[in-house]
Amino acid sequence: MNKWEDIVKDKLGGYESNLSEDSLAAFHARRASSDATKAKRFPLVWAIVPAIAAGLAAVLFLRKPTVPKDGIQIIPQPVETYSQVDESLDTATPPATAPLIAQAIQTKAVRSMPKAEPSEEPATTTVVEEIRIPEETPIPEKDDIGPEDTPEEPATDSRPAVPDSAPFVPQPSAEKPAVHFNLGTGGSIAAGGGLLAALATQLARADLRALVPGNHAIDGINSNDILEITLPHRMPLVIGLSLKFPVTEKIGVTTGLEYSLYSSSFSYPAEVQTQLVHYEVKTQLVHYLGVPVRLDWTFASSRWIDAYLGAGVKGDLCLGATLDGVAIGKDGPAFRLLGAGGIQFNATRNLSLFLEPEISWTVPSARRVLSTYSSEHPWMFTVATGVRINLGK
Amino acid sequence: MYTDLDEQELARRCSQGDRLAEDELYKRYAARVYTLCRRYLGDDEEAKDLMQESLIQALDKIQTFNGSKGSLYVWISRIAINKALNQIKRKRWQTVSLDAWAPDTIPEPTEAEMETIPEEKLLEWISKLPDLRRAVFNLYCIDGYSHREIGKMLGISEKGSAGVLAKARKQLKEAIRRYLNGQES
Repeated sequence: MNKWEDIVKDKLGGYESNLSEDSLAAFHARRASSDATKAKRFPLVWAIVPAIAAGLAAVLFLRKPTVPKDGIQIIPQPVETYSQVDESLDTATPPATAPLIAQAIQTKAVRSMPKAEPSEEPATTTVVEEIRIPEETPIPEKDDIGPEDTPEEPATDSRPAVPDSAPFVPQPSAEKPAVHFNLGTGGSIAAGGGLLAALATQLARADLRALVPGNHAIDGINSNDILEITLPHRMPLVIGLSLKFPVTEKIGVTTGLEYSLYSSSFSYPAEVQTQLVHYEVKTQLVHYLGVPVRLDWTFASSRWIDAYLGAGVKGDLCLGATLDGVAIGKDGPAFRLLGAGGIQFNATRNLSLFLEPEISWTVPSARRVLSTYSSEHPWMFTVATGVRINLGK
Repeated sequence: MYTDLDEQELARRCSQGDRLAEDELYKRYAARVYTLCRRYLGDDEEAKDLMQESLIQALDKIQTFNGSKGSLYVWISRIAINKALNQIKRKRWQTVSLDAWAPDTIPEPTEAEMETIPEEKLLEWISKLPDLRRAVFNLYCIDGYSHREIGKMLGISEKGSAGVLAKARKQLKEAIRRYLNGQES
């Protein structure tokens, strides 16, 4: 060490700067507030656990609507067959069959059901209000049907014959009524970064199996009445690597690479038999690789936590798409506008954990042809969490 | 009464929550810790905050102080230095002007010249150094850390630390020379 530096050391090593007279009082006040803060402090894990639980609850709550937006949900009721008819009874008045209960969602849903006699309990338009669909007059025994009673079947009707024991037979009609099942718009939260989204996706998949009426018999309903089922798109699974470059102390550019998996299921009536509806469900998987570029403004910063707001764009390039494992045409690129807020827990100088709610809008494009969660929901709300590498900090 | 206590006894009383002992500790070390914080941070207000934080942390952990391993001031100063470095590391290193990379041809100030310079002036010049240079100069020249230790503390290489120190020395010598030549009051 040089001589002049030794002198600097001697001079400053023991130098006592002047402190204001009230510095001790200020120290007392600060120490008191520090003690108060410590008393309120609780382990971070206590906050993380409810936060994860709340996030999961939000995902589960929002991933599918509680009621179908537009449709009617058929609830099969136990059917009492009456193959053994009491001889003493008039065959024109067969035993009462179990009523068919439906949950009317909208009036037009009721319209799609087979026409019925006026009911004692009229259908209402109240959402999710149970209505009782009047019992159709069952087809009497063949021997008892006179020529004048026999309904005229349209020549074009190729539906399979309905067994005589069917308790509910819709009136044939030239215009086939269609009950549209639209199981909703799906959830609007996608948890980026894996765990939540993966869990939600798995739950959605499991739930889907329960919702699809494929391979289930629906007693009392002719399969021709159900022509179309639209299944909800699952929330995307997004996994990525995030990098943050500081521009100034408060402004930074966040970018990275994000892989997105969009999963959807489509059901097709594969086989129609009397009183038995078979649906084949095919799963579409679309893979995207995206690059977000966002300008972030850190409005609060401490040693451990940064809070920030940001806006930017994201480009998603389709890597490939499959339908039940068979490759189909790629989707066009997607461009999104992003707005985000976030909290970053700084584990080390260059490594942080972040929790980042983000809202994005997908720019409409004619080049995008595949039906995905993104195409159905231009506005998406994502809660991303993960590890961020802070460069140049 | 408390002014007569040795460091170990003072620390023991502080660990028992004796408020008078805590005040005594503050009176003994606050001004020196404040100087240390000024040296590292270069900003008086930030230094005051850091001094208070350091002393509060020292009091919180005072039961871990072991007098056989060093003086109470050295123990507190390590807390303050760690806190100061964390604070500095959280900032981006300031941009360094290119002329600082030119060879150092400035004559070194003599002992007699150095004696004429007030401490506050030295503190002022050190505070004007960029963050990294200020940290390395303080750690190496005043607080006695090696380049290897500095490299670990700041996340830079040993050679990098020596290079930064050379630039800090040159910048300080320029300031000292300007002062001694009467170009700065």
